[in-house]
Amino acid sequence: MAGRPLIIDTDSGHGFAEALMLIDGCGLFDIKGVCTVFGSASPRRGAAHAAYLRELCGGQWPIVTGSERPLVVRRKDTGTKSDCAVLDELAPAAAEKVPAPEHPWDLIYRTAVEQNGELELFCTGPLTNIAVSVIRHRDLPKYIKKITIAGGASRRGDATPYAEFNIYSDPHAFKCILDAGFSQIDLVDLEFCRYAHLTAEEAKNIGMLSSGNPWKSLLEKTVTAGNPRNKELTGLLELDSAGSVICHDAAAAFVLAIPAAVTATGVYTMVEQRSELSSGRTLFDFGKRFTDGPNVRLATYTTREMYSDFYIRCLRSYDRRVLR
Amino acid sequence: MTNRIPVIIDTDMGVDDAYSVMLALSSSQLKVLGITTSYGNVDAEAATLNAIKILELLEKRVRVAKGASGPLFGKMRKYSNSRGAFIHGKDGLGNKGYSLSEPVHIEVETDAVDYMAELIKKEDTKVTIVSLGPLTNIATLIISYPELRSRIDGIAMMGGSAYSGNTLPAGESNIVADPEAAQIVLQSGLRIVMCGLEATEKAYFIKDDLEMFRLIGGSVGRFYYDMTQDYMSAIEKLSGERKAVIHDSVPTAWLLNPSVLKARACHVEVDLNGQYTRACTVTDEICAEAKPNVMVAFELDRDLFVRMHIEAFKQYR
Repeated sequence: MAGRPLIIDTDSGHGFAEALMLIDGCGLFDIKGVCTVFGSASPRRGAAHAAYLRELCGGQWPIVTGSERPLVVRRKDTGTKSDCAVLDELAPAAAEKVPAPEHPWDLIYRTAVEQNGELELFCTGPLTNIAVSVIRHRDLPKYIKKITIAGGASRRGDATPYAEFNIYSDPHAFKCILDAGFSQIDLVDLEFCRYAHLTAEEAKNIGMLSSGNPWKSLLEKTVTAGNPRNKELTGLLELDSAGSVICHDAAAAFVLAIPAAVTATGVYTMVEQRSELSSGRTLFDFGKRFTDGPNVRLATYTTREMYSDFYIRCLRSYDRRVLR
Repeated sequence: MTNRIPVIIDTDMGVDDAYSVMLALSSSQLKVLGITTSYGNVDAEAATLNAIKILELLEKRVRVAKGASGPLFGKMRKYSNSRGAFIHGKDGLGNKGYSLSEPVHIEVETDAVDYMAELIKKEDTKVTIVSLGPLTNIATLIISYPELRSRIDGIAMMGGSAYSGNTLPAGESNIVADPEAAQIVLQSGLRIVMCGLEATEKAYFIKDDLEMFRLIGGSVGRFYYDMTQDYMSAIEKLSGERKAVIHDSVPTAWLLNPSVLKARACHVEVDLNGQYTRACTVTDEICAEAKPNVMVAFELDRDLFVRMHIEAFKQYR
């Protein structure tokens, strides 16, 4: 039976690698394409990373490159967030020739129409490609079943005191998506990682995967060995820093795959676009004090054990593929 | 007592301000030099009248000076339509201020800012300012009497919030009332303890606490009990929880016993131009790019907070 049709829109990075491992490994999805956008890497480098990761999955989906900059704002620091060192090392530059000759906004719209309202979008980077899709194809929302976004912060941000990197990078794009009329937007903010993360022990076990598991080498270097980004996030979330392993994109992939394992609350969400100090901050009207009905479903809770069980099961599924 | 802390209380005299003033005046640790008033929960005239009425109820001889009737820039929202009237009652004292006798004493004629300056100059030691309302008076003092900065020991303020809002999605009412004034104060270089919503929303009384005040506090306790009933109902309508959140007592409680709060040094600036975030006190807990300028309170010991008020009310039995 075919899985749920899905297009992934990403700025690459090690988080994207883990998210893709989960999405492909869980066996629930039929990946229709990967689009790249500026952010952790340039769209072209992101496409090279995506091509390398596609090989690990044994997949066939198209990879297309998208926006190189935000819609309106100009950030001096977007495109420089270094979370790709290991991918850069593993993915040969030649793979940059891989992208298919189609724009993300056209791939998304064409696929959405073909899938007759069943297509889902999963976004792990700035939302510029999706916003351009809406601007170019105003009726896109009626063909999209659901968008799941790794973005936003209900407490602390990682780009500024309040703003999360993906939304900060292009707040106007997020606003465009909020206003576009999508029937369901699932938002996975940084705070959700408080519940969805791995322990140090679980991360260590990744190093003990069978040598035939295609993800072994990459995850040993990015997850087991730890990285500065992880240290930053454990500090932000005030988690026990004795080795908790946090991956925002992977947490969002978990919400995408198994929404029934997650508590979510409908909440009206706003994004600040004008302020110098607060640009990109997501504001949530939890008390329904300032606005009317909800416009997103915000993932607020899961058990850490469910997340780690899902993570390990997906990763182990590649062992079985090798054995077969 | 030789080492009493000299304080000036700047207030927009609503229900929770009345608790704060009572707590301050009941303590032998504080020397309340004067009270200044401003718009906020009520207009400046009503705030002044309320302050004098509360002082007479408490039988304390402290002088009151009326201050700002609006923010430094721009217009003030009309009081009768404001959230303040809904929460604090039309008179600002839970619709029970009318039951107090007309005051015998009158306010001082000096403007609040000049009066603060006069009090600070007269005092031998540095003065602490307790700020319970919009920061307009204090900002005006800072910009118009720069030579007095060194005579101010610090500011204990109720206002702001690191992560939420009450009047706006990211704005707390005292900051929303005058964001520019708040920014002047926060950037002044003075020592500041910011008691924002993260701490003050934990500073609440429930029905049993109020009953206790009524039983042990004589006529003062009975008035405070009555004054708090409509206030508690208004909060219940907004939040669904029947409790009286006494935000403004928090800075006073901190002055009396710092262990009532857990605070940490942060860099705080006021957002002055956000579409949704204007008046947000942008709180950088990590201080990656700027030095800490404020001690921000995040936790409050509610049991201790309640006990401090019980001890204060006992003086009026």
